[in-house]
Amino acid sequence: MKLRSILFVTVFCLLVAVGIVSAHGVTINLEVSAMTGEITITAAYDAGEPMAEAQVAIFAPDDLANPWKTGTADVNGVYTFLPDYTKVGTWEIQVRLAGHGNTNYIYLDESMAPSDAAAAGEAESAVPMDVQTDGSVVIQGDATIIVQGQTSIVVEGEVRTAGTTTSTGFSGGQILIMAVSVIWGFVGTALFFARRRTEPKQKSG
Amino acid sequence: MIRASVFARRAALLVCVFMVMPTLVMAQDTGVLQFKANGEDFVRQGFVSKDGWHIQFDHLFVTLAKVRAYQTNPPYQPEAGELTTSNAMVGLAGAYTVDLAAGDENAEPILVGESADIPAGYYNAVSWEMVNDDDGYTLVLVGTADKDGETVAFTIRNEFPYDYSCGAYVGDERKSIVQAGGTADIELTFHLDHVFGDAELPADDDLNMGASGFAPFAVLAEDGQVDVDMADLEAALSAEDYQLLVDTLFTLGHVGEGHCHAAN
Repeated sequence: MKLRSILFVTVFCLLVAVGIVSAHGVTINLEVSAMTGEITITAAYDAGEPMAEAQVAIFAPDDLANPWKTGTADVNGVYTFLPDYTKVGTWEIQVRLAGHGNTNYIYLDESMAPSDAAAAGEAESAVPMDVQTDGSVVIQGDATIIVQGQTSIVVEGEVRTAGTTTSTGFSGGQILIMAVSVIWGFVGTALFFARRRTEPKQKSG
Repeated sequence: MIRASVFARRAALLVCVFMVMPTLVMAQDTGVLQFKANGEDFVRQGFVSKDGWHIQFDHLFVTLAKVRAYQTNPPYQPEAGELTTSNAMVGLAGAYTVDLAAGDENAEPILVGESADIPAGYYNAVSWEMVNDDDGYTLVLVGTADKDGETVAFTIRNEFPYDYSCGAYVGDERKSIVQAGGTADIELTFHLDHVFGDAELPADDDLNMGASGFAPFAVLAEDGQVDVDMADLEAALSAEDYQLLVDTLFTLGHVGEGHCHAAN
């Protein structure tokens, strides 16, 4: 449970969805990945059928006359691209197929670009990780978990560990007290024996 | 004398400069926007309806009014409803009856009118009304339909008005971007395949499922001719077929392949 909670906190990916539903014809949904900055276009007809292999044209705000990028959606009507976040303003996305088409818009600025830490986290989370149906999380291979910022971990229930874990089991304060105690023990012992040597021997008679 | 003539010439030069300069400045920031109406190849070249009738148009009259183009920010999207705000608006005064079938099969879209000396920029929304002409009709289809050796000459009239608010043009080209000192065009597109369907598409395609086909009109022909308006069709067609036609006529207006909000 503890491990699963940590993993969900560190690899949680925010998705911002911007979607429209056409009153007749075509729906274009836009999703922005906060981790990678990529925008995923999903185009479908109103009845739900994906616009397989639809033509995609993307216009940046600084050149409305010429497409910044063109491409073809996949069989599911999906197309993903990474915009240039330095081109601040409203981007226009057009999707067309067989006489049907539609336009959607999204405003982008540099603050929406993914941070290097987020990108690194995404790269590190490329280690295969599977969430099982019973809620357990299985990581294949080695993994480093990085927590950005404050973390609250709530464990409800029993915590079990198996295998080898590296942990002292003591808090920092406890360790400090123990260290001071040990050191003082050595110091006290040394002082005791030092005092015994300096005391004069008592003469009888 | 010499000083007076020199002064007069210089004064005249200054007057000319101050009269011409504002004009030049305005011309740098303005351009021309042409409004065009397009029935596409369906109207210019004919097509086969979903139920197998080969349809050819002799005329296709639409009467347009309040034809306007807008610069909108945030960009207007018809799914949000009627267009109500814009940063700039230009348009045509008056009403215009145009024949979308004019010219040959390769004819250009029909020029409805143009707005000159308008602010440069991207006009990413357009609206228009279909209004009654002198005979009381907003849309008149005139042509012939052939199937299996049978020919029906048709005149189909629609007396219902419509308001269309549309977003940016969707098509092969970019339109309605007015450059300073330049000319751009914006297109009012009419998709007649929505009414009759298209045999080139599967029968269960959304377009065909929502189309009337030509058969409901063909059965009304007398001596190979049918001349009806919406009142006649309401009386002659089944309630279901009539409502399907009414609903479909709303969807005629497009901006290229882009959709519009329609009302009447």
